[in-house]
Parts: sequence; C-alpha cells; structure tokens
Amino acid sequence: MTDLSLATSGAGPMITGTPSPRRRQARRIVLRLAVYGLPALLILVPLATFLVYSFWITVDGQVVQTFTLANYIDFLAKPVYRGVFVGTLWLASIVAVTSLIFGYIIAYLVWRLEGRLRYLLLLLSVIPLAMNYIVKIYAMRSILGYNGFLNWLLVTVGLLEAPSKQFIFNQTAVMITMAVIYLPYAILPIFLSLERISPSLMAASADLGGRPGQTFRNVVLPLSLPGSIVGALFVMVLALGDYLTPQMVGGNQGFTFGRAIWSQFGMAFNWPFGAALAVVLLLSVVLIILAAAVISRHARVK
Amino acid sequence: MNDASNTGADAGMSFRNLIHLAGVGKSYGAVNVLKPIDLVIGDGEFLTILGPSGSGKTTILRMLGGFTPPSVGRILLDGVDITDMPIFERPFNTVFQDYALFPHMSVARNVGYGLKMRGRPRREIDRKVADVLAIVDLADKAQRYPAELSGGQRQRVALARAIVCEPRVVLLDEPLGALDAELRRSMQDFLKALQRRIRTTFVFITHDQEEAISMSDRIVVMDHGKVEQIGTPKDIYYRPQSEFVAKFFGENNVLPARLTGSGASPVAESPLGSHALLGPAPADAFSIAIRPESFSVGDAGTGTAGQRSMVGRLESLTFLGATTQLVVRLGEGSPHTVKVRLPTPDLGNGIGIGKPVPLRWSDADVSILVARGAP
Repeated sequence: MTDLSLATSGAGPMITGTPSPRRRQARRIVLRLAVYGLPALLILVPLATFLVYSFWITVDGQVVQTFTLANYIDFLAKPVYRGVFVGTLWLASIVAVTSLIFGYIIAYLVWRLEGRLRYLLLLLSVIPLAMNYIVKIYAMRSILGYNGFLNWLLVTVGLLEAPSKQFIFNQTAVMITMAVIYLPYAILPIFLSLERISPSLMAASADLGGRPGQTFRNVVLPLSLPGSIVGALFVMVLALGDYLTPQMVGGNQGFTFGRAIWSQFGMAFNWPFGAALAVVLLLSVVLIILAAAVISRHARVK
Repeated sequence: MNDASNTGADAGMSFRNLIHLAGVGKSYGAVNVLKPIDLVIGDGEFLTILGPSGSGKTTILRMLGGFTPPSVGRILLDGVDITDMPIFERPFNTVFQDYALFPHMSVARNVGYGLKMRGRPRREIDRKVADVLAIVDLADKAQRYPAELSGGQRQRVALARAIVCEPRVVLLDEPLGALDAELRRSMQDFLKALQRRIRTTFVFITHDQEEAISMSDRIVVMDHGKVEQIGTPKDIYYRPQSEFVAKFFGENNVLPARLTGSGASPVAESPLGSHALLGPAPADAFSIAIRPESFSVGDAGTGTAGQRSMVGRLESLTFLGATTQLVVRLGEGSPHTVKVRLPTPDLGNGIGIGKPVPLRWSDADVSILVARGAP
C-alpha cells in the first residue's frame, strides 16, 4: 500500500527530474553495448582473431602478417591433412550413428517405463554428464586396456586365451570410448522427442487396429526420428572436435583432426596453419548444426 | 432401471441388443470411479453418456474401447465376452477429444490408417478413403496435413478415420468440446445425419445437456460414478427420477414431498397438493419436480381428470423473448415458490406483480424423485 502511494505521488516530481531525452538515449545505447557487446567481445573477437590468423603465414617460426590463402591451399593440397579430416568425419559419423542406435534403444526403454522408475533411470542414464570428462576417459581406458575389465571378462569366460591388445590404442578404441562418453548427449534429446509424442496418438493407432509393432513403425518412429537425428548430430559435433579421447586411448592410430590442430599449435608452432584447420573444423560444425536446424524445422512444420 | 428403459423400447424404437455391459465397474485402488453398471446398447442406437466431469462417463468409454480394463464385470458384444480383447482387435473406433490425428500423415493417410493396419489392399484403401472423405465433405483436402486444417475440418477427419473401417460402434469422447458454439451446432446436425446414414451405433460422451437431448436416442445420465437415469431425451427431461437429473436439465421446480396415506394407496403430500402415487414411495420424505413450462395460467375450467389448479401470488415476471418467466408463491405465507414459463403472447391482461395468479397443471407432469444417494 505504501509502495503504491509512493509510486503514484512520486510520478509528478519524477517527470521534472528525468534526464533529458538525449541523455536517456545515451544511457540506453551504453546499456545495449554492454548487453550485446560483452558476448561479442568474449565470443566473436577470439573467433575473429582465429580467422585473421588463418590468413597469415609462418616463415622460419615467425608469423608474417600478410594476407594469403596459402594455409587453405596447403590443407587442400596435402593428402595427409585431407585424409585426417575425412577420417575424422567418418569416425564422428560412426560415433553419431552408434549413439543414435544405442541412445534410441535406451531412451525408448526408459520412455516405456511408468512412474518413479522412469525418471530414476533417466537420471541414471544422464548422470555421466556431471562427471569429469578426463575421468570418464580413464575409466574407459581401464576397461579396454591390456589388463582391463574387458580382457579379464573375455579370458574368464574363455573366449580369449590371453588378454588382447586389440581393444586399446587404435581407432576402434577411440570410437568405442567416444560412443560411450557421448551416449548421454544422445539419450536426452531422443527421450525428449519421444516424450513429445501425445499418448492419444498411440491410443488412436491401437484403436485403428495397429498392433504394438505397427504403432511403433508408423507413429512412434517417424515422430521421434527427427529429434533423435538432431541429437545424433550434436554428438557428431562433439566427436569432431574431441582431441583428448584420441590422444588418450587412440595411440598412434588415433590421429584425428582435433589432434592435428592441437599439434600445429602445441608442437609445430605453426599458428596460422592451425588456425586455418580450426576454421575448416568450425565450418563443418556450422554445416552440421544447420542440417540439424533444417531437420527439426522440417519436422515441426508437419 | 427397469428393462424397458434399458432397450429404448419405451420410445417406440427397437434396437437389437449389440453390447451388454454386465456389472461393469472401475476403481483405482480404493477410489471407486465407476460403480458397477448394467447397460445394454442397441445396434444402430445413438446413445449419449451425459454427466459433469468426474462422473465416470469417460471411464465407460475407455473400457468399451479397450483402453482401460474394467475392475469388475464383463463386456459382451453380440453375446461374446470381449472384456479381455486387446484394443487393436476390437471392432470399435474412437473419435478422440483432441482428435489425435497423426501430424506426420496427410488427411488421406490418416483416414486410411485403420485399413492399412488391417492389411487391406492399396486400391481398396484409396477407394474407401475417397468415399468417406466425400461424406465428410473433405474430398479436396485429402493431401493436406492436419496442421493446415481448421478445428472443424480436423474434427471431420477424425470422424472419417473412425467410420472408414465400418466399426460396429463409434465411440465419441466429447468430440465437440473444442469447437465454438456455431460450429458445434452444425456439427451436431452433421453427426446425427451421419449416424442415421451409416446406421452405426454411436456412443457419445458429453457434458452438454442440450447436445444430449437434441442428438440422442437414449441418454445415460451419470453423476459421481453412478448412473442416475437411463432413458429417452423426453423421459429424462419430463420424467426425471432423481433430483440431480431434475436439476441438470435447465430450470426446474423441485419441491419437498411427504408420504401420507396407507401402504396400499400411498399419497404424496406437497405444496402442490396431494397426488396419488402409482408406484411404491421412495421414502417417507422425498421430492417432486415439475417443469416451468408444464404450468398454464387461467381460471380452472371443467374439472378434467388429472387436471389441477391452485391460486398463487405473482412475485416477479421476467421477459425472456418468446417466453416469459413468472415466479409464483404457492399461497399466502407459503415458503414455496414455483417458476412458471409461459409463451409471451399467452400472458393475459390480468397478470401483475402482487396479484393472484390461477395456476393449472396436470398430474402427469409431476415427477416423483428418488432421494439423492438412494440406489
């Protein structure tokens, strides 16, 4: 009550005490600059720096600030980098597809559950998101390693006579580790896209004679697939840029594009070339995200 | 509920029995949402289950459709027990409250879905879908998606989808609830005409009394998980058996009554005088009901059998257009008033507030109500 009367009685003198329109305008501009400028400064400026670097060149370990496309031409011309790039795209695609398949199965089973168990299991399946990434890689190493759990299990069961070195320090190990680590990122969007399907649609399908399998094929799968693919593309983006997993479980074979970029900055000290590779990676990521946006918009229109 | 009111025979209509809900009830744990009911649904009948929300009407529909199993009782179709038959095998189709159209399928694919699930050949599906879309006047929208249609059009797609498989029963779960008043009215006419045309049993759920009265062959009135009355619209309107039913359909006069007279010839004593009861009295104290429009005003003529009259005092007069509503106190100092509705042109000059009004009515228009909560 007092607040209200204060506000109304204060309205009169407030008007005379207001700063001039021009000063108010100026204040608004400053505020806008802070709101839009800060993110721009923190996100766009580093990106722009990269972009600029990628057009420079190193001569004898010194960065020369001349505009040139040499780095990009290098990337396209050298089969080594092209090969690593395509190989990494391939690896990330396999990781995405694997996450899509296993993520869909897990999300579907959780979604079919009812009551408290459902959310408990959902929580359990996404809890690895809260864990440290490095810890998860080490955990996978201890499973896949020569003296790891997988070898122990296979030897104990009798499938192997002696522990195998085939599970670690190769491309497959990278693939398995990434698929396991990024699985929760797939489960969540897939679960959400299943959750968005109205129960009455499944009731309608059954009512019209659809057996459970038919209802799944004709209603559940088509309605949840766009969201699920978006989730898988998200995993692909994560896998594309990952350089730690290949380094820690990939050994010599696990050389990915992320590691290539890292080596340009950390070992070769060729920052301009590293920046050019990073820009290539960024562009591929943007393309994948655009594809995801198109898929989800297309799904929504219908 | 006697047998006559169950089969609609009292309305001059005769339907072969199609479905029998035998003692069907539903409870969730300790919560009893539907007390066991016995209901026979005739073949080709338009049966409306009417009640406020939470009355158990949707539960009946869900059990019929196979979405929820009953807790007790059996459901028979042509005398065959279908209680445990899964949804997808029941020869029933449902029009859902939210229509439940598949958003990723065109109108034609939505309508053809049931036929496709039953493995009908492509050509038969195309032909039947085209036929039924013509019936619901949507032939030109076959390739559209549900999101591109208006509410009324979606409604008709849902209807087309439910009748294309020629089900034994079409279940309609408040299908008109989401439509505006005008569209609702035209859909009511459309639904009724469609039902007559395809001669299929419709079980229609609604909470709208007018809708129920104007469309149905019979109405099941429900309240609090219990059947209050089953009967034709006229039965329900003019011969309510409970206070709930009497008050559910528009304005009504409900007056207290007492049982007098001996067991062999019971008499109901009410502010409207004494009436001989034809059947046994429901209780020592109960209620009677008479519709406002069952009264007429004028001096008592020759005493025809069953005609009654009484002079009351006019308390108020409300012009409603074609009719005028009078509130009449039943005698000097009486605590009871009745509402009387007369066609406006019938109002004589002698009528004025505070003046005496001669009321006339017929014994046949007085309903005896079973006290609320009694079986």
